Amino acid sequence: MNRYVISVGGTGQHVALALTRLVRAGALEGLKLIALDPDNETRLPQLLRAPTPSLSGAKHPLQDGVVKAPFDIARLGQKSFEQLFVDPDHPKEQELFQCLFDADEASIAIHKGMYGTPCVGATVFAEGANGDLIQNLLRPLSSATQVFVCGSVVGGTGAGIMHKLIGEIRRYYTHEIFGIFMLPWFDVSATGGKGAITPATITRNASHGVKYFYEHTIPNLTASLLIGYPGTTQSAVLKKLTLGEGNMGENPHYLHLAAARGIVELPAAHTANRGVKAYGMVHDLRNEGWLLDAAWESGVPLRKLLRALRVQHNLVSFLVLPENRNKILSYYTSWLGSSDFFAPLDGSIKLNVTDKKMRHSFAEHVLDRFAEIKEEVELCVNWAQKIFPVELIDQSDDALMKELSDAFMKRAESAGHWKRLQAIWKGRELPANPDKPNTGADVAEHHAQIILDYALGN
Amino acid sequence: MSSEPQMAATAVALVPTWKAALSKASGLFILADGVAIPGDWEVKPDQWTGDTGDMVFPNPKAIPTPFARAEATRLVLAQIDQAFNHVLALRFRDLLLGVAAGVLTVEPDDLASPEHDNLGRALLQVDRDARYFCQLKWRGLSYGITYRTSLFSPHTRRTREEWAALAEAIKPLEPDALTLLCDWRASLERARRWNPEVPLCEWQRGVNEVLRRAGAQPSEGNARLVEDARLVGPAHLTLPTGLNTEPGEPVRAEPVYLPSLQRGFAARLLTTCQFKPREEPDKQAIALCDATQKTVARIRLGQSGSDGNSIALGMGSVELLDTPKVPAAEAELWVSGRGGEPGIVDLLRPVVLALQKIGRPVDGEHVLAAPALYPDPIRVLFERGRWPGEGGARAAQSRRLAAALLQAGGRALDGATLERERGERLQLGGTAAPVTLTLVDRLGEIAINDFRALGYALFAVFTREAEPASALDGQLAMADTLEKLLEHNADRPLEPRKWVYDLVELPPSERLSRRVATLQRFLRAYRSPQPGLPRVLDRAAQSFARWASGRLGPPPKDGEAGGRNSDLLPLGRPSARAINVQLPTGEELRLPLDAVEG
Repeated sequence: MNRYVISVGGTGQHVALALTRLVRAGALEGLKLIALDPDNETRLPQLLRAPTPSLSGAKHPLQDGVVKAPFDIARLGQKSFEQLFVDPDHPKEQELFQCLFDADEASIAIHKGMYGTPCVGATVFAEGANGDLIQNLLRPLSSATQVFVCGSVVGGTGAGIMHKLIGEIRRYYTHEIFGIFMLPWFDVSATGGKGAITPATITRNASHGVKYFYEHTIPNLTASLLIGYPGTTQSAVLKKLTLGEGNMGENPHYLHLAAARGIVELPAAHTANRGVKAYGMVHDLRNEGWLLDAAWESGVPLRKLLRALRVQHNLVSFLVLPENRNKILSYYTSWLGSSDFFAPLDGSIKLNVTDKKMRHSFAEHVLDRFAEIKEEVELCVNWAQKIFPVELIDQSDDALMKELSDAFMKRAESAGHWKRLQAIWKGRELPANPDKPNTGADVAEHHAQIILDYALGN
Repeated sequence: MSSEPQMAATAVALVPTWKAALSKASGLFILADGVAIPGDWEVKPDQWTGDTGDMVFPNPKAIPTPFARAEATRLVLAQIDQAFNHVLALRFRDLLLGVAAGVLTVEPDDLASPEHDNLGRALLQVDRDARYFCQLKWRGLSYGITYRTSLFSPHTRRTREEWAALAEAIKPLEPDALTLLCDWRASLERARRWNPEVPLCEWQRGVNEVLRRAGAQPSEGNARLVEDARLVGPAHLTLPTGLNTEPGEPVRAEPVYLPSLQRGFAARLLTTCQFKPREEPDKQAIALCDATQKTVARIRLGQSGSDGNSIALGMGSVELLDTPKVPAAEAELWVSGRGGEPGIVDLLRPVVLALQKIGRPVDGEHVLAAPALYPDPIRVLFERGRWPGEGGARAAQSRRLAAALLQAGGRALDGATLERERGERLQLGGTAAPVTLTLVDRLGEIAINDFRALGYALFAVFTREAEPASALDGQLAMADTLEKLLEHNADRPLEPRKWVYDLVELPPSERLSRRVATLQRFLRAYRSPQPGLPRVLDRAAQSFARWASGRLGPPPKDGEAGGRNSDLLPLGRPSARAINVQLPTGEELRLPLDAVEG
C-alpha cells in the first residue's frame, strides 16, 4: 500500500504529529506525509519537521515532516493580500479586487497566515495553484493507493484551501480520498488585537465551513470523518483547551488521537456503507481508554504498545545515564575490569568490531543511538501521558513496570536494571554481517528491539 | 440511524453539537443520513442575527471562496422569504431594480482577459464557471458583478450613502421596472426556464420574492418587454434546461439577457435598421450610419478566433447612439441586403452562428418563445416579423408601406391586419431567390396605394401609353417620356416608381374618368380566378379602375377576387394581344393590350 496523508494548516499538523507517534509506536505503518501550510517557521511546523533530531529527514516516521507552503512564500515576501494582486498596470484588476474583498481582507499580511479568513485563504491558494510549486508537491500522488486529507474546516488556511486542494489532488490521483476534518477543538481568548481570531471568529467559521463543506467539498470525497470538541462535555480525556494569541506550538489533545483513528476506521466503514459520505465518532464516557484498548494496524492494542515503550524507555534511559555511559566506555579505554554487567551488549560490540582499538568509538555510537531511542520513545510516551490521565494508561497490576520504576529511583546504582538487561539480552547478541557491516546504531536498535519484544511478551 | 437502545447518557458524539440518539458506545457513526448536513447544524434564518442585532450569517469572510459574497447572497436567497431584511437581500433588490430601471449599466467581462492579470487567473482556478460575468456600474462606480447562482454579488466597499443614492435614482422608475421584470420573468416561464425550487437557481427565488412583495404584475401582452426594454448583458446564469419538470431537473449556466427599461427602444432600433449597415473591423462591430455618415447604432461582433463564448462576451448586443434623421419618403429597411450589398441579417450571420453553437436556434419558434436568450437585434426583428422567412425568403414592400409601418412602430404586417386591410402577399422568385411581396392600399387611415399604383402601370401598358423600352433593356416606360413605370429590381420587382404613387394620390383627371368603356375592357382583360400573380394583377386593375372612374366605393367582398365592382363591370371586347415582360425575379408577366387602338 502506498498511502499518503495530506495535512493542511496547523490543525492538520496536529493530526500529523499524532500519526507520527502512532507510526513510531508501531500502531500504524506505511504512511507518507505531505504537509501544507504557509508557515513553516514557528514551533509547530518545526516540531513536525523534526519531532526528535533523529526522526527528521528520511528517518521521519511519515517519511517527510517538512511543512511546505502551497504557494511561493518567497515571492510573497512581506506582501499584503491586496499587494499580491493589485498593481497600477491593471486598473480593471484592482476594480474587481475591491469589488470582491473589503479593506480588512485586503490588508491581511498573508505571509503570517490567513487570520481565520477562508475567503482570503482560498484566493491565495488558487494564485499558487497556477504555479509549479503545488503541482510538484502533489505529483507523487499519481502512485498512491490511498489518500487521506486532514485539516480544519474552520481556520483560514485549512478551510480556505481544502475544497480547491481536493480538486488539485484529483488531477493526479483518481482513487479513494478520505477526509479527516476537525471542527472547533479549542477556544481562543476573547481578547486580541485587530485581526486576531476571536471566539466569534471560530463560531462564525465553523457554521459557514460546515455548510460549505457539505455543499461543495464532501461530494468530491469518498468518505469523511468530522470531529470536534463536544460542546460542554468534560471528562478525564475531554478537556477544554483555551489558546491565547501567539500560541504557535503543539497543543496535544485526545481529539487528535481520535482523528488519527480515522485512518483505520474510515476505509472499513466505506467498504461497509458505500453511499455514506459523512461520519462522526462516538466516545465512550464509561470506558475512556477505549482507543487504548482498540487494536490498531499492528493488531496490538495501543495500550500494550505504550506500556512496552515505557519499559523500553526505562531500561534505555538507565543505560544512557551519564554514570553508566562512562562505565561502559571506560571499559573499552582501560580494559580493566569486567564487561559482565553489560555482557550481551559487549558481546555484540565484539562480534561486530574485531579491532579492539575501534571498540571505544563503536560503543560511543551504540550509546548515542540509545540516547536517540530514548528521545523517540519519550515523544510517544509523553504525548500519551498528556492525553490520558495516569490512571487510564497505567495498569495497577503491572509488576514489571512497578519494579522498573522503583529501581530507577536508584538511578545508576540500580543493580536490578543491569540484571534485567542481562537477562533480556542473554544469548541475543547481534552477529556480524559480512555483506553489510553493522553500525553502532544497528547494534543499539537490535538490543532496543529485544527489550520491546520482551515488554510486549511480558 | 439504528433503532438500538439509546446509549447517549454514557457516550458522547465528538462534534460540537449533536442531539440525536447514538446507537453505539464508541467508534464511527453515520452523521444523520450520511450525505446531507444534519438539520441541527444548519443555521436557520431566525438565528442569522446575533445578540447585538448584527447579521452573523451568512458572513462572506467565512466562506472559503473568493466569490464569498455571491455565495452568501445565494444562501440568503434560498431562504429569502424569511430573510428579506438581510442586508444581502436588500442589496439584491437594489441591484435587480437598478438594472431593470436602466440606472445601472451592465457590461460583459471575462476573467480570462489579460486586464484581470493574476487575479483573473486565480479566480478561474477556483471557479472556472465564473469566467463570464458582468460589471454593474452607475456614474462610473462599480456596484457589483453578476454571478451565476445568485445573479448578483454586491460590491464590498460601497457605502450606505452610495447605496441610498442608487435607491433614490431608481425610485421614480421603480413601477415600470417591476412591470418589466414581470414581463421578463413571464417570458422565461413560458420557455420553461424558470424553476426557483431547483438548486443553484436561487436567484430566481430572489426575483420572485422582490416581485411578490411589490405586488408587481406583467403588462398587457408583455408590451413593456417588447416595446420599452433593451436586453443588456448577457449575464451568465444557471437556468433549468427546460427539458423536464421532475425534481432534480438539470440546470446549466448560460448567457441570459437582463431587462433594462428604455422607452421606445424597439421602435428606435427598427428605425436604425433603415440605414445601410457596414462592418467596422477595427471596432469589431456593425455600424448603422445615417445619410451624413454619423453612426447611429452599433452592433457588437467581438473578436474573431476568440477562444471564449462570444455570446457571453456580448456579441450581438446593440447600442443606440443617436437619433437618426431620415426623410420618411426614403425610408426603407436594410434588414435584408439589396443590390448585391449585405443587409443587417447578412452581417449578423456570425451572431447567428455563435447562437447556434450554444444550442440556440435562430428561428421564429425559438426566438419568440424565449426572447431573453437572444440579443436585441435578433429579438426585435423577430418580434416585429422582420426577420427573413424560412427558406431565406426576403420580405419586400413598397417604400410607402415601409414608411407607414415604421411610423406605426416598425412591426411587419401580420396576417390578421393584412386580411383586415384587404392586402395581399405574393411569393416571387421561386426557390432560388424567394421574395415575399406585401401589397396593400390602405393601412388604417393612411393611403398606401400599392394596388392602385400598379394598376396605373398596367393601364398605361393596356392603352399603349407605355411599353417595354429597348433603351431601358425592355423595362416598361412611358412611350413619350421614357419614364420608367416600375422599379424593376430584385428587391422591388413589381413596385411602381415614386411618380406613379404621387400621381394616383391625386384625384384622377376628368379625361381618364370618362374612359369608362376602356376601363371596363381593362377590368375584363385582367379578370382572373387564379391565385398568385394573376390575382394580384386583377386586384391592381380593380383598384385603379375604382380610382380612375371616380367611384371609390368599398372594395370587393371576400370571395370575389376576380369579381365585380357593382358600378364598373368587366365588359367589352376581349384583349386580342398581349406583351410579355420578364420580372427581375424571373416570372413572366403577360400584359394584355386593349383591343381598341387609339
